Amino acid sequence: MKRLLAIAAVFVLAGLPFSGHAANNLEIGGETEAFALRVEYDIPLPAGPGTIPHVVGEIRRSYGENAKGLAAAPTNLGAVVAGDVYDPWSGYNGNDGPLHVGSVQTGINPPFDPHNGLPTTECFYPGQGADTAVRYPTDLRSKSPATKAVPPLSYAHAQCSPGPQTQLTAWAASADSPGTATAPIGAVIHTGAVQADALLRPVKGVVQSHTRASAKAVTILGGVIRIGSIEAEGSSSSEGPGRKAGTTGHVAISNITAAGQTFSLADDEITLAGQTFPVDSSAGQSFLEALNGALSPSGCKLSILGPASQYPQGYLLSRKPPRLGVASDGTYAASMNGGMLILCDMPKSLSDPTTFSPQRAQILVGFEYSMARANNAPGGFGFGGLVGHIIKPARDITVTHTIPGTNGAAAVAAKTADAPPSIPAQQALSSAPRSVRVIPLSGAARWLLVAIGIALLLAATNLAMRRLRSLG
Amino acid sequence: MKRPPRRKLLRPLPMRDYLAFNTIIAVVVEVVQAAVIAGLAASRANGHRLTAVQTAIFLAAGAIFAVGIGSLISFYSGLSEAAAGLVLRDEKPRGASSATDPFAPRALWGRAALAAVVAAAWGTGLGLLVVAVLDGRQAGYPILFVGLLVAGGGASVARGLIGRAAGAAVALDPPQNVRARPVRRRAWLELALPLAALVGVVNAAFTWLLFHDYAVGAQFGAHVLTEQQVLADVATLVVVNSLIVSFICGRAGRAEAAMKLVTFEDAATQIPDAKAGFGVQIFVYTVFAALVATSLVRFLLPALPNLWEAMVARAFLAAGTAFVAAGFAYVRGAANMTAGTTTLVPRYRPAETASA
Repeated sequence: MKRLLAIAAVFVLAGLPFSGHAANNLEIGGETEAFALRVEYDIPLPAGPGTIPHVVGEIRRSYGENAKGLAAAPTNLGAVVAGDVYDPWSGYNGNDGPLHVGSVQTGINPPFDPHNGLPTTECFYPGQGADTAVRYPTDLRSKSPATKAVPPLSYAHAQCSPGPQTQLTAWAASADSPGTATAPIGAVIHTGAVQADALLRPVKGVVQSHTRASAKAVTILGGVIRIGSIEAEGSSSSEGPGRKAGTTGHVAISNITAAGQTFSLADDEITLAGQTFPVDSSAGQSFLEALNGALSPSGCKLSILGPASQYPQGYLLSRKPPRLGVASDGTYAASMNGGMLILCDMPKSLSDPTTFSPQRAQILVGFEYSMARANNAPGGFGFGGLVGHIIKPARDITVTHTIPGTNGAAAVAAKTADAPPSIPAQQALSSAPRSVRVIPLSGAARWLLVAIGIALLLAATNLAMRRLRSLG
Repeated sequence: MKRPPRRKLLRPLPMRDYLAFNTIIAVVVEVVQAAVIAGLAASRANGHRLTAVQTAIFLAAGAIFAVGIGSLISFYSGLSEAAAGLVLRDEKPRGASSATDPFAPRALWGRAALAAVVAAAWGTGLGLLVVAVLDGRQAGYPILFVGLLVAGGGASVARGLIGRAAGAAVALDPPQNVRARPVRRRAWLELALPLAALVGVVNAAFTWLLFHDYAVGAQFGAHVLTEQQVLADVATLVVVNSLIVSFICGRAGRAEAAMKLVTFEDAATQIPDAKAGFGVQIFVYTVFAALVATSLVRFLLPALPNLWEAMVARAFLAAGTAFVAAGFAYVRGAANMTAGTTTLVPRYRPAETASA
């Protein structure tokens, strides 16, 4: 009897520490992306003058921690910037002669003064570039007495640190300031001050992802469309299993002036001449049709994007399409929102000297995406669910509910314009169980391990107990 | 509050009470030890967590090493404390007072090896359960702490109980067929050498525990395995290992000398004057010599070593230090005991206790 009690005590002790909340390989994570304007030319591959301003951040804690981010105002991610080939090797080449990639001479002269490099910077933790900043033109022309002491026209700061934490800031007095590499984009898009921020971190037991991008005084194609201000903002948070998760986001575009009409867009509603109506209402549809009809001579057409819509990979997102929604178990929350999509045939004056005609530009106005994930409580270990986990399947991300304020409606496309590719409805998290473990054991393997483990424990306990009993 | 003198704390106890008292002490020690080692394991791992398989290896190896070293400590502690009169004989013979010589190297290390095998089964069994329960997930500090406490601590406490009882039984009923051994051979060959090998393996494993998640070959960032990182705590490594083996072999030397189980090849030089025993200076010199040897290891170790090189380097330093410290500790203990300059249990004399 004593031996049985001792063995029982062994198994109780052995089971005590193993909580059902033990860590998954990916414990916490966060992602954000936001910009006020993204412009791509159709010549013939998608390329653009950059994304204005742009912040992309990510944090992960799995086997270790890492944080990464990009801040730019604007970014140089586009292969073509301001109508010229952007040379990502300019720092290496020095741009003292024709461009070459490695030892291959291209015979092409540098597109712009290399000292006009865009205020784009990236950070990665752990690593050398955990805290980076670029101030234009202060840093890029630091040897010039004329610019050494003047305040920067733009800057980008990316800070990645343990925690993990990513903090990003990008600002520019104007995305097309004279003398900068992106000055020529002023013919397509002129902006006033632009700013973007992102902060991703676990804090006080909550994984938080927050991002914001804004632009003011935007003029498209020399005044075909004018926008007073653009603001895209999103936040997601997750507290971990059994707790809360939430997400929110919006894109507000104020004082849009096109074809003689001035209106604003916010919270899926259009405000026109003091009246507010939903975007997908008959009044909203009629307004958009009329607006696009009036805009057609300019070669532009406009559509409103819905919240939490699925956007094409590559164009909007710097990552594969994410899952959107809120996990009911508090482990996941994500949402994204877009503002307006503007498609314009470029005037001949702007598309020259290229031979592509008509040349088109697609401009997305306002976009934000935020995600927070906490597969385990960010604060650490909980003693809930003791012992029982051995006979219970691992916790899965399961049922979700629609994000408050987002009905998952498809984007409203203008019927008078060439319909853009249909945008599917909100992609909610699957209700089917989905394992979050990387390499789960098969049921047979688990039970085999349990059987062998118990056999070894019994054998060792038996031997030890015999010796201990001999002590009296 | 005034602390009672040590000689009042140390008083003879019946065997059952003696074992119970030391079991309580052992449990407290194991809790602290498990907390510290689990903390070290978690603090150096990526995300402060070990994978399920790493956790299982951690538990199994922890049990093996805890019992391997604890076997010697408990045997010689029981032996010396019983020989000093701290254990009172009761009516029932305890432990195994076998016909074989319990001090023979084969018997001494055989007991430790057998205990390690049982501990291996215990720790591995628990480790396999952990793998099944974690099911691909990782283990943080609480799991490592409780797991190590149950695996290593449980095995070590049980082994300590058995070892103390065996040591005390040998002291109270000395086997008839025990023969005295030359002190040098006993010290260096039969005790210091195998103990140093064990210490080397333990430190190699501990090095793995500390640095398995460090980046190899990188020059920047956190948790990068560099020569500096590998040898940063070498002073602690040398001092801790010296203290442990000195404790074990010092007790062994004193106890075996008290039981007339040691002969001196050159008694005139090996046994000190009765008024001036061998001091602890040799251990200070040993530690300094080890620190000097560290310079050689530093010279041989690449600036960016891999994990194997780090394990070999630290194991070499620990084993070398342990070998020298263990050998000198045994000889010093035996010589001082024979000369009458020390007591079996430090600062404990049965006569004083009786008069007190």
